[in-house]
Amino acid sequence: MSSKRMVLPRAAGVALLLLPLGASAQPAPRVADYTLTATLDPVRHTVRADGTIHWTNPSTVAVRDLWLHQYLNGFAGPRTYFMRTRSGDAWPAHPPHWGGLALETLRADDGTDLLPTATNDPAVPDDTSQLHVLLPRAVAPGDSITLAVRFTATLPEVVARTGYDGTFHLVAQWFPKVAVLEADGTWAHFPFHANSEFYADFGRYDVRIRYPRGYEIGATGPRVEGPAVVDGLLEERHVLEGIHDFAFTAWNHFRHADRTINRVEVHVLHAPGDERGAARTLDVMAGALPAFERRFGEYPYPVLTVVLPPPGAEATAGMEYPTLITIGAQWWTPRRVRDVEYVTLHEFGHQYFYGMLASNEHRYPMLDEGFCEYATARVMEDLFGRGGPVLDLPMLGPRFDTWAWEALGSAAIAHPLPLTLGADEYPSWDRYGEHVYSRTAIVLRTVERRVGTRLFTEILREYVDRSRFRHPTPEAFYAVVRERLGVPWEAFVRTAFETPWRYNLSVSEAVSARDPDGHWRGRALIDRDGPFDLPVNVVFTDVRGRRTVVRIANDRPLTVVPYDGPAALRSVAVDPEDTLPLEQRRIDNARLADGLAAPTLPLVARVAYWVALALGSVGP
Amino acid sequence: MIRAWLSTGGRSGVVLGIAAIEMALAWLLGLAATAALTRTLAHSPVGYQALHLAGGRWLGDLLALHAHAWEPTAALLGVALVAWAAAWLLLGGMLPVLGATAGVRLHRAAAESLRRAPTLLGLAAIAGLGFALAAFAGYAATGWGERAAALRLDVRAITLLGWVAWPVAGALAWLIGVWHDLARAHAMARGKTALQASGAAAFQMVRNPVATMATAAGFGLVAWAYVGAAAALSGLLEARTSVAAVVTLAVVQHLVVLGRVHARMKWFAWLGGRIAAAKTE
Ligand SMILES: [Zn+2]
Repeated sequence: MSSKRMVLPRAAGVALLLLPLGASAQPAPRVADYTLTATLDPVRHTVRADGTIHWTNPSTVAVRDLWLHQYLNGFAGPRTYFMRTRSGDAWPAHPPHWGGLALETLRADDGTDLLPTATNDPAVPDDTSQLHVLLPRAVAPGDSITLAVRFTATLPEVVARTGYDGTFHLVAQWFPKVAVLEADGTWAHFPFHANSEFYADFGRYDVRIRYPRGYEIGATGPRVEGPAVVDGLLEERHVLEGIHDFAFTAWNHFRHADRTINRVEVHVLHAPGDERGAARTLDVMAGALPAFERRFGEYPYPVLTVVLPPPGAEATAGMEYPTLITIGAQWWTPRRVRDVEYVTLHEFGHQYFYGMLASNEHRYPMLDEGFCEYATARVMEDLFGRGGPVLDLPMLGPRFDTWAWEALGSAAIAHPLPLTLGADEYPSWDRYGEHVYSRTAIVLRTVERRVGTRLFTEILREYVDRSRFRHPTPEAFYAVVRERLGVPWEAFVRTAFETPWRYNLSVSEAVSARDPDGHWRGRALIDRDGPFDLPVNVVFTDVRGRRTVVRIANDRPLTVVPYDGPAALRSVAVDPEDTLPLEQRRIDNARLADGLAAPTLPLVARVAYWVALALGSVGP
Repeated sequence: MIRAWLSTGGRSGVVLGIAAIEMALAWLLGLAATAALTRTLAHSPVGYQALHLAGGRWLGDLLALHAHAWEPTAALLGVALVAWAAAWLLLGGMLPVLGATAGVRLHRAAAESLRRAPTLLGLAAIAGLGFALAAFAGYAATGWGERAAALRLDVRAITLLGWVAWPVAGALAWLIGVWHDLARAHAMARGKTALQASGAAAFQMVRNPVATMATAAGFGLVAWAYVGAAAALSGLLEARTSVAAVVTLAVVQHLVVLGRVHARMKWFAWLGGRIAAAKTE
């Protein structure tokens, strides 16, 4: 008590600091404000908290009820909706220690106890990840209600993006969170599904975190007070507006590395011995922040905390929360294996496509994961050169680019589904991933390749600017595409997003023969498999190296392109500029003329050498 | 100096012969493994260079295209590996025969090796058991290293301690390899049974540890130096696709295999000399 610092004199300055920087253009609405005091017990792995939720009706209709998400209950036992919908080995079948969220008090501002009438969603048996609350009075549009809450969150042993491992804690989904009330007065509430991430409204989070001495914490938002000793515990206060979730981490072995980049305080929290991983993270952020701001607009928050979870807590790695991201890294991987860089860029990208835009991750996961994946690859290329090489070790074989990774991920889809399905509509984590991440990214990349990086960046930038703090749906993106590129491009994007497709171009025949007049005449067959009518170049190369470019409409399953030249045809290529990276295969886009064959002996020789070496080293 | 190093005491012909057998087997395996890929690559205007271009996209396409051929290829490789194991046994018997006596013709050495196949198999089984034990020791030591390091919670120390175990296991495996060479030399040069040869090899390692180990290490290092040099060169040339680069790399890589066989031959000749000297003492 005695050591509690006075904060009031600072409050005014703090308030300015807390407003998102982009707020001048389009302020974040304050729908759900949370004021909480949370005490972490790292021995019992619990967080006991109390405080208030101040909720303002953002819709156009009055409501008498409210949905709360208590997603920590996804890990309350083996039969929860989360555990039932888990597929394959995406998440552990059974954390060694279950968790849960126990709501002890829920009281309206008139004193009404709301718990006795609160119910779980009857449509989802055996699951307590949602709570339906009847309000004592109707809340009119624009009106507010304040709920007093007290609860205990028990963390599971690390499972999906949350939990503890020993004394390391990643505290997420730890408080009851109000679902989004859409403009038409419908609640966007859903049980915690294993494929799905989250959806919540913007607000101001004012959280005091108490934790034992010897621990260091990292949390969403800037620290505005503390750490100071309160009741024998350390307490610090984090406050930020324009966000829709709050997570924190605590460990008694954290080391940290900090740097201010483009006015943003970047803090890296890492395990002892992982100084190299931390340095790499800061280095990539030094490039990433300016690159993201240049392409996708201002990062509106004053702080970013990057957590490198210790060995054993890998299940919490690679996740985004507002201004707090977790990444996975091995301290010893060479710098040219850009796993740290890739994951850092992806999770930071989520501060835009998730954080600021806050699209419904359950209904349209492609809008956060897919757009973020595109942004990741785009910035990988900005920072590391053509293709955005993620693996660049010449000693050990070919270079591997991020764009190639996305294209191959999309091409690997055996049974196509629309990209606009909800997270719970994809039957498995793998099928969710290949569509939502890779295919979405490669569709966006295709538009970029067709219209040019500069124009496409402007389009994405406009989509981001318009959708800031607005929970966009795909329609918001279609609208920008229509305005900037016209109806045909909108149709392309709609088809690519909303229908299942497979698309491939190939040269299935290339022939020429000498006519009596001395000319060589022949043809190329361009086979198209799939829905998109996009003109492409066909390039003939003759045996003397002369190139002829023919533009074809590519609007039918088969295009016959005649050849007429002074020399025999050597090869034919369709779309050699790779303007359609969404193709199933690129290797069949070029073909030698019939009767010609390229040398492949060097490949056999190379393989034979490695075989001889491998067998010889254990050999006679 | 170089001339002295190159000399194998009249065994140049058989060194070339054994290297040719090894390379022929490797080419067979290479052809089997790449047959499907080369058929596709032959249609590509850039041929095998497609593997290195387009940031891995074409390589990925190729693998996806032949994903269905994965099982037959694996089965073929399995058969090829069995064939290699048989050849290994044969060559493993020939080297000590050739090392014991200069001037033995290749086919005579092969016949002798075939005749003593049961003994060679016995020795290979004992060595195999030893290798398995070394691998297990390495694995167990890794776990111990990690537990010890976990107390300090330093991720760097955890990994490093885990890694230390593997060189130790590698050294153990190398010792077993040396013993296996010695045992084969004793078995083939003096007609001993597997058990007798095992004992004789162990006895020689204990009696003459410095000379035996130093010589084995010397020849081993030379063989690995060739490999290292070739790896460095392929690092420089791997992505180059000019004819000169491809030919240079192929020639160097074949020379490495030849150099390795040459070093092995010299080592077995040295062993043969030691055993002969011990017999006349
Ligand atoms: Zn993501």
